[in-house]
Amino acid sequence: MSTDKFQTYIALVVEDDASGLAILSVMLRRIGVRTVMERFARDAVDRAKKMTKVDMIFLDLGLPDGDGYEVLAQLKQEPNLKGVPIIAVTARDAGTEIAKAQAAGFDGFLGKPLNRNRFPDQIRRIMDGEGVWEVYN
Amino acid sequence: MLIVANLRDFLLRLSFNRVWQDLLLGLLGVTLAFLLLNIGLSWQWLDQPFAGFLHLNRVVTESNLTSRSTTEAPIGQVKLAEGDVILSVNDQVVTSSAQLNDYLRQQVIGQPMTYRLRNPAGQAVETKLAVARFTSQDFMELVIIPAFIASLALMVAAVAVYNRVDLIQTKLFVLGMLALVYALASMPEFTLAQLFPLNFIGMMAGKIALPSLLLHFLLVFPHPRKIVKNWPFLLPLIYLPVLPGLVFLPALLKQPETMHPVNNLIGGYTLIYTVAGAGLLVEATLRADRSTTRKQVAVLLGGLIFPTFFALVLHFIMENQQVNLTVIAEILQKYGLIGLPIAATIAVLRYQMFDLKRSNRLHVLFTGAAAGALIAYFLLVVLINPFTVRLNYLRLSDVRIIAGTVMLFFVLRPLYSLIRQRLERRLYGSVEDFRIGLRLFQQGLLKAKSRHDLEALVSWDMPDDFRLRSAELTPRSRPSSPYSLQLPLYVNNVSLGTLFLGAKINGKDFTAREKLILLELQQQLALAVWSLELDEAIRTTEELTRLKSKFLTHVTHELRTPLNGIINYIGFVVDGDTGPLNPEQTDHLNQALQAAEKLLHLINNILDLSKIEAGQMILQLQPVNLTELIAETVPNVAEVLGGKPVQMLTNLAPGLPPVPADRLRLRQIILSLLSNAAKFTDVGAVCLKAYPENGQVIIQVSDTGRGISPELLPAIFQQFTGEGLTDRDEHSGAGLSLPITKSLVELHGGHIQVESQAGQGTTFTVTLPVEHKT
Repeated sequence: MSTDKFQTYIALVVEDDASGLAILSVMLRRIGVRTVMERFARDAVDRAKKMTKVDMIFLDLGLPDGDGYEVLAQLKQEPNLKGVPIIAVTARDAGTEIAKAQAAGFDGFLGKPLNRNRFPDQIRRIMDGEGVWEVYN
Repeated sequence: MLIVANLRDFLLRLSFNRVWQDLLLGLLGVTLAFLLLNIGLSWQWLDQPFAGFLHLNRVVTESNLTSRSTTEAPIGQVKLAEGDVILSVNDQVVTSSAQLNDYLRQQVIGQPMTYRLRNPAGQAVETKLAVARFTSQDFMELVIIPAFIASLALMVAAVAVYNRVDLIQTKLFVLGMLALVYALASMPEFTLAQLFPLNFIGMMAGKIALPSLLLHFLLVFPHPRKIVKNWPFLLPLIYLPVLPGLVFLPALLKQPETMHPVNNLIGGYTLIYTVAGAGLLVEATLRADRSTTRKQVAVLLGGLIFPTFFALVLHFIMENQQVNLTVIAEILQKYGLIGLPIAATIAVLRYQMFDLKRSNRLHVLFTGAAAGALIAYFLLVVLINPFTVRLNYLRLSDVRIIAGTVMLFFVLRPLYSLIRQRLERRLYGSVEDFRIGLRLFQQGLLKAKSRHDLEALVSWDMPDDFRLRSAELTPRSRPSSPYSLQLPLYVNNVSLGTLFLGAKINGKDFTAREKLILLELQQQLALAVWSLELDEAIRTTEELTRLKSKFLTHVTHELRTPLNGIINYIGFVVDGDTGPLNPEQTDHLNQALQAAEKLLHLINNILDLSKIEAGQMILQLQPVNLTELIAETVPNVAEVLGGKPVQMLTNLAPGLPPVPADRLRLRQIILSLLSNAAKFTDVGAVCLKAYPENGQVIIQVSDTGRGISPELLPAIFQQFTGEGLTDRDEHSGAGLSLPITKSLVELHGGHIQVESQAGQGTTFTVTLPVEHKT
């Protein structure tokens, strides 16, 4: 697998849990992806609009000031963000949430805890346009 | 057909057996009341000089004749005037009051005697006078009204003692008829034509027949239990007919004779409602429990508001009055009385829930008679006397008439029994067949959804179906029950309550055959209660399971979040992100990592299991490419094997059809089986085969591990009881994985089998349908 082009990627991570946010950014940094972080739903959309370049968006489903699905709907309306994969990241029960995420239009689902060993491959597949709907094991 | 059925019902409920007894009871009560009344009135005149005669129904005393101008109606052609003095009676000279009194006592009713009078002008006048003691009008005032009021009192007293509604209906009816018979029988100049004076008919119909019939029809005829059960708010409407009467009530009380017969009718009708209602309200208030009182209050309010409104309208139409606050206040005050009968009706309906055994009839008799006499006496003296008559001595002829009437009823008794038997045989023969009742009741039994339904069914439907006075299902038995039959409900020695049954509506005892049917019913009811209680327990459990699952869903979310931190931060350190580690550090951190992963696995398993238990494991089915899924899953096994000399072999048939499955769950199934095999295999191979067969896909995982002993094999898929907890617990997720795997396979419409020989390895075979049946 090639991770070279990861160096050019910029990811927006929307996550309110500090440790969750840190872990995701560490994992992204390990593969060379630069991250922009937001902790609130209300800021996420503005931030995404203002960013000159964004290649992937990680969205926590349970934000303190809004549901991840609402944020997704707003992001989907932005013409600039067309084709940018949006990945749901959550500790919620994958059994029910994956189906919801698929129906809502997410491009991927990563259940918490994230699997650091599989993470690079998951990102690669997401960027290749494959859907990734996975949990830890 | 409906009319016929209702009529039959009406007749059935008008228990003939009881009518006879009540008739006698009522008769004796009224007799006693009337005697007491006469004694009381005579007492009033005791020791007073008496002189006078009966003029029509008026007592004209000596002093009347001398000091007071009379404006009485003419007797024959003679008009008594002030100063008239009686000179002789039947040519016997009157010299004193006592003498006149003696003459008068001799006078036979209806036989004229010749009176000589001297008027104030000194002229002597001779005339024949017949003492017409009772006209229909007098009779109304002196007999019917007191008797009727006495009957009412008797009835109320009887209800208070019996605590049963039927007495009200039968007594009203019977006593009304009794009063009529007595009135007619006592009239000296009785002719057929006298049956039809308008006032008389009006009063009789209004005060006795109409109210009793209406009461009966309202309370019994159209299955009032059902009416009240289904539309309790309609109850106040039955009082609408009272309203016109209320308009005339005050006038009626003051001057009954001047009222138009129709007004009399309506007024009398109102009167009975009010009087009966007041008595019953007191009784009901004393006995009502809290919920009943609440209902009573609700209906009472309804009963005050509705009729008052209509009464106002009616009043203004009829009296042509201006609307102003004073008038409204007066009317409100006046018509507030309507609430009494409404509460009474509620009380009456409540009685249908009770069925006190008949006891101490003598007590009722005396209570009723005494109460009747007192009330009648009071009312007569207070209300009627001032306007009409002073009746001043006990008449032997009254006693004769009363005695004669009593005798007549004794004579009529055999005839009555005969008619009663005939009618009962006709009516009860088919209708009061307990088997029919049982069938009807069973239909209701099937529809009951809860114990509450069942209790309602017993109180409302059972009395109708079985022609009983009442029935009740209560959780407990009662040592002193008013019911005639107590049937305890038991299943497996567990007490489920008691079925109380009132007496049969025809007053007879239960026959042996009926008792057998009731025993059958007792068993069925016990089973119904039992099954409903089980249902309820199951529902509660299901609800608890659902809540548990919901709770766990939430909790596992909260648990996974910190695990994300634990696993990944340890992982970053192990991976050397923070600098090189020595081998011991690496080992320790890997142990911690494995423990955390085990914990995660356990959390996931517990959640899965609770969802399966609660029936909330919902699969998101989609066509899954098995080859891809397996390729994705197999690398995970290497982690579990952890460097053991075990080969991981896959053998996939080419062209595997897509399987309709929940991708995540199918992955979980395969991973669970592979991990299981990897854990228990120390040397050799773990082999995964997948191939299509007969429209199904077979996924087989076999290992060369230690195997499972035959006695443990059947238990392997059971939660917590599988081998996992015995010698495998250090490896497995507390023995939950295999039960979950089995459930998941079955949710996919497939099945799982296991074969094993101790020491030689284990093979799990999962069969999944390619065409998913929905």
